[in-house]
Amino acid sequence: MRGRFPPEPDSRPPLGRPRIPSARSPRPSPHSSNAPVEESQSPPPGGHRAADPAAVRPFTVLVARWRSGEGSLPTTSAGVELCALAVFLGLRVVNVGQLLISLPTALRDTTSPVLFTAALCMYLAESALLAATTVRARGYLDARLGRADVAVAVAVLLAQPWYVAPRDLTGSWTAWGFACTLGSACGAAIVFPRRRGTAVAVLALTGAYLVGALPWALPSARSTVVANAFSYAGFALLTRLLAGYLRRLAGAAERARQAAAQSAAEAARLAEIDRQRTLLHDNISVLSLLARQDLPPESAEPLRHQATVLSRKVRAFIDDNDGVPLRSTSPATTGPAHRGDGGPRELIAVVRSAAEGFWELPVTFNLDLARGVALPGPTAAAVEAATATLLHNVRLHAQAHTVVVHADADRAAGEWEITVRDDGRGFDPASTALGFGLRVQVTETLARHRVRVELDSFPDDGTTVTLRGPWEEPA
Amino acid sequence: MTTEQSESPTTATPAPRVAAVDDNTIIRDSLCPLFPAWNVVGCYRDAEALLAARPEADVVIVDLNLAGTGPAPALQGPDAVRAVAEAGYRVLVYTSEVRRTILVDCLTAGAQGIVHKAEPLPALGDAVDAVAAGQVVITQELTGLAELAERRDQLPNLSPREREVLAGRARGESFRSIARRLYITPQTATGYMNSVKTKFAAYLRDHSPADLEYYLGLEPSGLTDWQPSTTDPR
Repeated sequence: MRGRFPPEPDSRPPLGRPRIPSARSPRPSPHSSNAPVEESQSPPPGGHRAADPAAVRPFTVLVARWRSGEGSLPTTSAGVELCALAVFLGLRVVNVGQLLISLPTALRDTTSPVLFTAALCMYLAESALLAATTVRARGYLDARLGRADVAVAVAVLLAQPWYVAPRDLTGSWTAWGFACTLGSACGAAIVFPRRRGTAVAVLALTGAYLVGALPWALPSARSTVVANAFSYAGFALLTRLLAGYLRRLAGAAERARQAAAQSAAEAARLAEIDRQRTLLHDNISVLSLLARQDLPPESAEPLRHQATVLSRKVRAFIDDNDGVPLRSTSPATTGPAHRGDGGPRELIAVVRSAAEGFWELPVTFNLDLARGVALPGPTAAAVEAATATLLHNVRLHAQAHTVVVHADADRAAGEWEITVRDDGRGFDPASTALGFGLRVQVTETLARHRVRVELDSFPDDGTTVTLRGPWEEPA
Repeated sequence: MTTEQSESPTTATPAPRVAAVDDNTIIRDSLCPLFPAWNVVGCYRDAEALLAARPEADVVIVDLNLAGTGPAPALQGPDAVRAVAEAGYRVLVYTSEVRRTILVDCLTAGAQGIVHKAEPLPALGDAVDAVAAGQVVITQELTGLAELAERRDQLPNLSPREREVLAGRARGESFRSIARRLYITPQTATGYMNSVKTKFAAYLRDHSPADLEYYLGLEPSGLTDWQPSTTDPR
């Protein structure tokens, strides 16, 4: 036995150890779609060596990706096809390499150097052509190529007895046909979309091998020939299992990505709608008041001020090309009490600032208990916006006679509290969905600042909204 | 601006005898038609006129801003309240004034109740009934001040329940809501609050606004931004 491949006659089926480069890739596949990509990192160089210059650029990209650690192949359907191609061509390169190493011995032992060389050249030429075409196509996908490869393999197998001595027909690199055509069986599992195509190719290869070896082999080697013949079916079956699974995996991953992209687009659309509603929410109450015919003359001025502020915000919204959400929805954002520096602000000032412009609401402020409490700038802006929104809600919905805005602070508990209570018509929180303002502008926004919102309402007995946040002493 | 008072005033008591001091003719003249349940015993342009007439009244409604028409300056604001209260009347201040200091001054001067003119009319009716029944009526701002006093340990004789009810009322909570929350009846909650107001009014009578600023930790002029008349009316 001079050749290292195929395996010993008595050994297990010939998908054994000598095929390590190809045999390694099947293992990780059931666990991770990324694993085959990484496992296939070595085959591409082989693929490249057999490839034409057009494939050089993608190959360097692949290597760069591999070296950067992100994996040379994408986990997409296209990536799976590249991976399968890399395995297929890599196998071919390994075979050709082994063949070239044993070439001097094989040439010495052949019964017909001319025929041997002709068959070898045909095989090498076909392999080179196949590699060039498939690399350009970025996949072994063309069934015509598959049929051609199988045809060449069949020809090689059938020609073998004419240039190989019977004693060399098994376990020798003089009879290189068997080792080299196993790769064609793998390729047939990749290239033919339907099982029938693969099965026909396997049958053709197995038949050609048996016809080309069994009648000519030494009687003692015939069982080896028969055992080897099963290798085609075994390799094709396992490759098909792996390729099919990876293709399904990639398809599933792509569908998941597509769904995620759709979800993200939908989320972005909803966020944009929320952004618009945030802006419009506070405008409603001002517009409805301005539309009133019995607007008291003394109310006109503060209302006009508020309308001016809101109109500026609408203008800023329209001009905002970056899609950055408005920082504050408070009507007092551009008012005199607004601090643009983003520094800490007194809670009492924040509440009073929020209530600016609600001149027509009968608001009573009981804020003394929160004296000395300062809020960080961003929290202050959020609390101011939320308080203004609560008062807008009272204005729009409550029909209240009295509104009490109360602030409290508990140094021991490290917590401050703001309550906005109206004596209006209230509602049943269990059966009434919260409006946009309360749900998004108040609750969700404040949650980002660690401020909790509690709602208590009862039909015909008013509504209380309580904001509670951490009281952190300034350093 | 709400008025802190009973939500279910007793109506079974006989009609309260009401006198009014207000420089607004329309208010004086409209009390009778507006409150037929009252026994209006007299309406006066200023406190001096009332004190001169000395009517028999359960409640005297006093306006704080008494312009007067004569050459002599009339008693104003808390001074007028003090003069009427010291004459033995139960004073209910009926005013547009919202500054806490002045309202505190009125209670310090002996007023038993305060109602804002912006309130709906029934609030005045209820307040008169409450004051006639010996209860104290204060505004929402003053309820907040009472809570502040309680939290600064100035009202140590409040019971835990009274503190709870006071905290709710300072936040504008209705007696119904407090009752639901504390598993008591609204009448019980009202009773607790009446007790709180009485204790708070007693506390105010013993303390000047400057005292309050000191004891309650209010910033300077949080209360004392209005100076009562330097002329001692007594």
